[in-house]
Amino acid sequence: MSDWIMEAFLIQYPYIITFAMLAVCIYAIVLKSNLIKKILGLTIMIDVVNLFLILTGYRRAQGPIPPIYPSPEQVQMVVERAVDPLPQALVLTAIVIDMCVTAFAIALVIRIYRAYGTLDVRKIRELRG
Amino acid sequence: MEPLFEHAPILAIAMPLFFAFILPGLSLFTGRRFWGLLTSLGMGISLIMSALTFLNLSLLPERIQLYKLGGWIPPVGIVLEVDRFNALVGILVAFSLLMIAIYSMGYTSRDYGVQYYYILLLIMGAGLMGCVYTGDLFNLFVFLEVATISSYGLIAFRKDDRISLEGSLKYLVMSSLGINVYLLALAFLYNTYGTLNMADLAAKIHGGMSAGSPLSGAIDAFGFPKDYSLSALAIISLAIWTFGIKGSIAPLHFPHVDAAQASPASIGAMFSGVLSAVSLYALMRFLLTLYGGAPMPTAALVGAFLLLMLLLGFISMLVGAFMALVQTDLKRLLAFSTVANVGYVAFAIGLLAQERSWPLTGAGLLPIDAAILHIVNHTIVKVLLFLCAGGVYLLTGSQSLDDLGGIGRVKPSLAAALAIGGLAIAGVPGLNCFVSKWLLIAAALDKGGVVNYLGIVVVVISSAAMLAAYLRIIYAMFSGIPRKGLISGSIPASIMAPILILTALAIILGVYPQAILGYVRGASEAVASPAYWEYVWEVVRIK
Repeated sequence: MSDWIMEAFLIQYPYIITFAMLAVCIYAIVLKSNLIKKILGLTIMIDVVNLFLILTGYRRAQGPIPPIYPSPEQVQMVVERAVDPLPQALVLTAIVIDMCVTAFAIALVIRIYRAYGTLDVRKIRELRG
Repeated sequence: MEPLFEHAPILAIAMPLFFAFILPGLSLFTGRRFWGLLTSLGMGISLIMSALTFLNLSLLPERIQLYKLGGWIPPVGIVLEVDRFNALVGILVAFSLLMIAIYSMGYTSRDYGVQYYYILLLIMGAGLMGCVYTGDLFNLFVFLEVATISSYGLIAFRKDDRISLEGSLKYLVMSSLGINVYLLALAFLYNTYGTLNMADLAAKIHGGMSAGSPLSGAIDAFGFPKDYSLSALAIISLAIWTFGIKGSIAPLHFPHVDAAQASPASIGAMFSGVLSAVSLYALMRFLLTLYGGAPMPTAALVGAFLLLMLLLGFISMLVGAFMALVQTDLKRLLAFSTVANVGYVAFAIGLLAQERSWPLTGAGLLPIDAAILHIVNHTIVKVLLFLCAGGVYLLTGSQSLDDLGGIGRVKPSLAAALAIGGLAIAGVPGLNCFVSKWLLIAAALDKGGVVNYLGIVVVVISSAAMLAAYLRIIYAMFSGIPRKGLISGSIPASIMAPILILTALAIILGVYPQAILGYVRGASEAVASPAYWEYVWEVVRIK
């Protein structure tokens, strides 16, 4: 029984690690009251999702080769033995976008600190009905 | 004319983006009137192009237009796929964007740094049009990010007002969380099906892995046999999470409500009217076009998720209507009424939970008809209401319901438009939202069952509560004591013109709904039919 659990863990560990880290990040985003900690949680969450996306392109193969410029005859070999390059392209796009979000969020935090004199969301509560 | 028809979908996205890129240079030696006109021109071209796309569809035998970006063939390259559903939502979004752009010319006349406002507005418009027309799920992510990031800047546009900073940051944190959750859903999708093209994906979901493009095997990246229903569970729940935050389905409505209250009124219209419509569009694509009518084990799962939509719809209808009743801030009240209206659409989608006979035909399409018609009607009326709220703000300098007194005497046309919009959204007969609510109740009666009858009761209760909320506004406007310092001057024509057009549209669609019902039925046929992926797959196979 314990062998089975160990084996399942060894094969499924990318999912397990990803979701453990996601849980930590969502805890930080939702429950921490300091704005900087919220943004840290957001940044780590972005990285975790990107890491997971890269992991999905992974291939367990003998004699791995890079996925570069295959001739038509080599396509089958690349599919079997190279990593999938598409998730990496997706992650590149996502990284650029997320850098903008983080930069904008930090700029906003600076302005909020000037306006309210605090970073505690429990004290920044003028918006309510 | 022929090439223009062919390229119309991409031009509808690219023209606002093009104007956004030339505006910074031109703003160095031109004035704010020119910037406003340029923005309106960009949105106007976008509207013309989306109208051309709409017309073009009726000429095509398959009623689907495929635009290959850069000439790359579909499963690998990014494509724009426009069917009758896309085209209807696209024309609605482009029309609302044009109204908001014209309105902004008068509304921002007292602000400084307006060129940045117009640049962000154009980029947000391009992003929203892209979300509607794209046929690639990762491209949807990129366009959603484009629209969302520019919306963060737009919320904080009046940055000296510290409420807007607070609203922007609160929206940023929750909305970025939602967007990253969507990226996680895409990771699952790509890992399972090996494709991100919507039509290819739908073919694989419906016909097994042998259908569609041969891009993926039966073993996942970690050497495990794939579990399709488990991945469908992850994908759909993450998609509902994302578009629930974007489209303000309760209990995920908090960031949207804060953002709509804190932002300028024109941006509140973008959030409550346009962004919620686009999110509901994307959610319907996920739940109905991609996963609707999937073979068993997945079908049971999708049925469970549609039931979840039904319950979320109940919660949204009640939370939105009763929270709207107790608000003291005009824009926050309008945002909560959006929550209730999104709840009607979610309820309409949820009516399909017991549906077993896919693809749908005839009376089976009634819930989708109701959902699409309500999306259209709600967007028109909610944009109208937010624009009126901005007009009130210009007159009184306040958003509080206590300061509404005397508007009815000083500016009767504005007050009448606000009153008509409020009555329309509460579902008064003769105005447009009544038709879609009537259709929704007819669909629920047609389906039968205790839960659906309970839903009808909830619809009636929440409509009554919303009527009460809007009657408070109307009463305050027409009988309240005028506030000191109420400016009795005129409101610029660029503010009144969009308001009058939208009011006229709300009345016309209420009195003569036949004008749009045929198109709505066409759109719901496109949502529920396999023609979407069958046709696109046909194109791929020929290449």
